[in-house]
Amino acid sequence: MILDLIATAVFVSVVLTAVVLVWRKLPVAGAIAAGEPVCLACQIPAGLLAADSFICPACRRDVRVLGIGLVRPRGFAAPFWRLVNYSVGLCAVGLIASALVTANLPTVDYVSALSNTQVEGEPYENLDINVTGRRTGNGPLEGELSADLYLNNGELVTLVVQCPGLRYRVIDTRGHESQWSDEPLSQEAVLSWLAAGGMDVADPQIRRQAPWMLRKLESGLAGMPDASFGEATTLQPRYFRGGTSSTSSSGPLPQAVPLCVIAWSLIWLAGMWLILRQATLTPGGGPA
Amino acid sequence: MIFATLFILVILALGGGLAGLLITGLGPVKRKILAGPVCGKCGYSVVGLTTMTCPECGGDLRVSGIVTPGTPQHTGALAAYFFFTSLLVFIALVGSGALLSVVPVRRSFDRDVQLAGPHSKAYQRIAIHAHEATWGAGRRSLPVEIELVPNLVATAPASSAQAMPPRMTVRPGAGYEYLDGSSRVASQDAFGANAVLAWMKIAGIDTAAGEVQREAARVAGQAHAAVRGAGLASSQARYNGLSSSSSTGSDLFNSISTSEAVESQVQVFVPIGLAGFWLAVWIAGLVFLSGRRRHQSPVTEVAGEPKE
Repeated sequence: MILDLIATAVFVSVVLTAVVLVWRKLPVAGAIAAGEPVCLACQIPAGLLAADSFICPACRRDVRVLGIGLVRPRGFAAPFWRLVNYSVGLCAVGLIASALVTANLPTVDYVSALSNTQVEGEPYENLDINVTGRRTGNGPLEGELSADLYLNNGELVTLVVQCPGLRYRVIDTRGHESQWSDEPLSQEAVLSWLAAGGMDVADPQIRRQAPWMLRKLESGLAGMPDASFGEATTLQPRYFRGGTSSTSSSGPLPQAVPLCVIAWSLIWLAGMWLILRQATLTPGGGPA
Repeated sequence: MIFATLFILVILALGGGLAGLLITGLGPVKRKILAGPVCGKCGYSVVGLTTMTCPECGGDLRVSGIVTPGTPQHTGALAAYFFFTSLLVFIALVGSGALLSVVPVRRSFDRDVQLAGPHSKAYQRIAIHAHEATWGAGRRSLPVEIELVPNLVATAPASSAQAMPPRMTVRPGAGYEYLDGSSRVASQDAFGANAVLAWMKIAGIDTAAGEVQREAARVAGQAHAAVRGAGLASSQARYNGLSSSSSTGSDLFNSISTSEAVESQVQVFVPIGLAGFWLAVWIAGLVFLSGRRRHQSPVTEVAGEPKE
């Protein structure tokens, strides 16, 4: 977000600077490129004509016959076309180069997934696991998992796990949030979550569900929460029904596009400045 | 959105190109019908003048030039305008695409949870709605509105104010509020099942029933999850047009359906500003090509007939 803002500011500033630069320098550059006005009959500089006579001192012809014009009238637009062609070229090069660069960088997958599991015969009736985050290349998920356990009395107790550090915190039935843990997610974390829901974690029936729940959380942290129960064992609650849904999208590294925009904007401005500077230099080498 | 913007730019460029030709393209053509020598700056006839100063614009004709029917004519102006316009379209497409790929987008998120068919049968359903529109991506807390749809017959409203579905607003970290008749009840206390029960009581529901109390706890729990911004609300992708829905049941409600949608939009002033900018650049380019903005130089392709 910050980088996007910086890129936007750089882009807009560069464009505005270029507009001012072009507005001030391009007419000067055009005039220099077009050369000085001359008698179109003999090419003698018009400055040599007398102020009170239309007769050219060199060819002795009335300048009103062929006129007074520029040495290179087409040259007036030359700096303009140089700027346009340079901009077009840079756009094309920038498009291709940026596409090549981003294609060779790892892509980022944005993941958002939800699993819902309903059980029966347990102190809780529903377990929702939400995962949102992003994964760069084959790296770990960067984001957050929240597991909502709806108790039979209607209350909710939530376990929130940060990725990739796997630190966690519990939000109890009154909405109070515990501090982030120092330890990573483990079976003990699951038990503390169940305890926050008022469950007796000393009860072997509750305790033996911790590995099953941890497995579900870990599958969620892998980016795809698992709603299936797999092979029935006595270690898991009685499955009632459930489902999963997920959405994902891929894109380049979030830093890639803004950095490309910043770099190409500055290169474009530098090129514009160089073209105009060169075009406004007088034949003697000094600025016009 | 991006494609729509680019489409607008293309249409503007093409339409503007034709209009621009009408604005500036006639200059060089008009020169063909010059009857005599004219000032290169203003087009005033210089026949009969005795000095090199134009009586119309005051310019020195040695600087501003003299255009005559015999002055060599430069062709290809129309082609130049077309060429410039088409090149500018390409530049505008790339430039606009670059800006639109980084300009901050406004993201709106909606989460709607319908708790229908309560087993207590004390009301029809409860809807929990969270909506937020913010800049940028990432997790955020959302204000949540809870609406209770009463039974048509079983629950008679106690007053006219309650004829409307009762609503409760839960603000992240700032308590909750609802209307009790005509007075507003606001609390900075933590939101929970007790708050929902008090609100339900105002709506004329018997909150002493055990099932209602459990349902209130479930409503509070769902509202907590919505306030916390669970689900798509914390999606980090720059552009989203995502939606999801799920439906389930429970021991408390016959149906619990959740739907979410997240949308990202570039603000409307951005494409409008871009279109205006490129239009201005295009017009300035055509004006420059037509030779109407020159710096201390004579003009050999001035438009207009000689003024007498």
